[in-house]
Amino acid sequence: MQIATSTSPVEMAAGVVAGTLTPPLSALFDDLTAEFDFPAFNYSLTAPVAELSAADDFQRITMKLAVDREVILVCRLNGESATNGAEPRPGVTIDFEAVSPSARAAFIISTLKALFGLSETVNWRLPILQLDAEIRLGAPQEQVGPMLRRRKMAQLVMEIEQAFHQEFVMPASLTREEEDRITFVHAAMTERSVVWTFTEGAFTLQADQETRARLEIGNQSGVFNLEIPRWREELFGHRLRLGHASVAIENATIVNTEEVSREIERLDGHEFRVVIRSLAGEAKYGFPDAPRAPEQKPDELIEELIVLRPLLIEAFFREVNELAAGCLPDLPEEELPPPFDEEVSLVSEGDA
Amino acid sequence: MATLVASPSTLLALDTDVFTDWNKQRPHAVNAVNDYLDRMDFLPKLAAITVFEIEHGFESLIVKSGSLDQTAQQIRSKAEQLIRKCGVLDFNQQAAEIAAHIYVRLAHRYQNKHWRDVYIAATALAHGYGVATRNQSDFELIGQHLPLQYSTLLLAVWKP
Repeated sequence: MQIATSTSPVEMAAGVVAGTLTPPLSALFDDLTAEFDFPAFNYSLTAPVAELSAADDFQRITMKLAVDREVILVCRLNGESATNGAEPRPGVTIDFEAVSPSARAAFIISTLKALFGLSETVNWRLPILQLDAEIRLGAPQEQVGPMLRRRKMAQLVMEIEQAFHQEFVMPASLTREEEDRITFVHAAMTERSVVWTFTEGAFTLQADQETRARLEIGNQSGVFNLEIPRWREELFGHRLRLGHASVAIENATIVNTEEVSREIERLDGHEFRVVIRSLAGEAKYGFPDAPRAPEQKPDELIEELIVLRPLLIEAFFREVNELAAGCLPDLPEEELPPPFDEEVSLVSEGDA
Repeated sequence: MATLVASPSTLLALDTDVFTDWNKQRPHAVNAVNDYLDRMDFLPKLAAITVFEIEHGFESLIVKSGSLDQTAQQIRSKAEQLIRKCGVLDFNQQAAEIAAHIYVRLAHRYQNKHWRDVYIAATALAHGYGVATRNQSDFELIGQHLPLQYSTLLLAVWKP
């Protein structure tokens, strides 16, 4: 089985391992629906068939399922002739298509990919076509982890969209900076008080008496308590206004001291830039006015997929932990790879 | 220039000792990986040098015995699956520059002992990651010699 999307291709291999597949395509009905059962997750996905086509004397059938207004699931059945008296074993390909590059589409697709990837078997039913098949996936497991991460980011982005009444175009892959910004903005609107990794950063301050006093205290104590009237974050080309922010940075110094001294003395309220470096490694932010996370419940499909999270994480951990457990320790002693802690060096003592 | 405790939101690369603990199913490592995954929806990554160490073990067996027996092949397959699932942080140009900066500043007696830790720290720093390790003191030593633009190495200490 192959699963891919227009945004993030994933290949999975699968075959029908049990069941029958006799597609009388002439028997089409308007309300055709297909169902995927994921027994391990006690979850069932039902979607209407939006499009059905066949080629090569029905050896190849393509079925498009409207999983959501944003997501199409494309199933391709490739019939194989029986050889050597063996039963025919149709191959199945599944692709996902995002109608638009939205966070909603990314969330649904990444969740379903993880679901397919972590399910040993999936039961696929299309009663009207007498299709009742058990498909077993051989997903490339390295894709499941990134899908879980993308799923989380997409969920946070959906909540940010609702809080800020904006819609974003979600890139096919997120940079570290984008992930950091997403989690920071989300934490600002949900937790209000955020402790975040900080080593060095620039802030825009107003040249007034209060700021001068705060910087003087900071210079003396190494603790800077800054008040930022309008905190903004850029996300996917959108400017998000988080409102007033207070920032507390300990064990810190001003990097651009000359510039700051010159600017603050003007005391005319103009904005200037201060760069602060901290050895504490973190800063505390307060965002009392940030837009709040939406209280309304998500729609049914999104809610169903949200509640799958603990099961997905648990299943993924079980898989990786079984691999980890089997990696090295059961070898007889003489066949064990050299211990990692062994003194091995590419540099001889004489060279060092 | 120092090491600091990684915050709960810090992305982490596993030091080889933690990876080994996980392989041996030591509870502190299993629980820490599980907690991290539950918190981040993401597995900790491996530095490329850790992959070298893992593969070095198997390749050493091949050199010694001529080949890997079936059991060893299966174990290697599992190790490589796990590596793919975790994902690998490349030892790129940035990492090489950081490693060089640190390495030459270590006392000679530490260079041989800690060169792999230097590579792991440099790789993590280059990618904006912290390091999950059992050996805090080794990385604190390395943390004393970081380049100015990478002033802080974030550490998560995963030990019993």
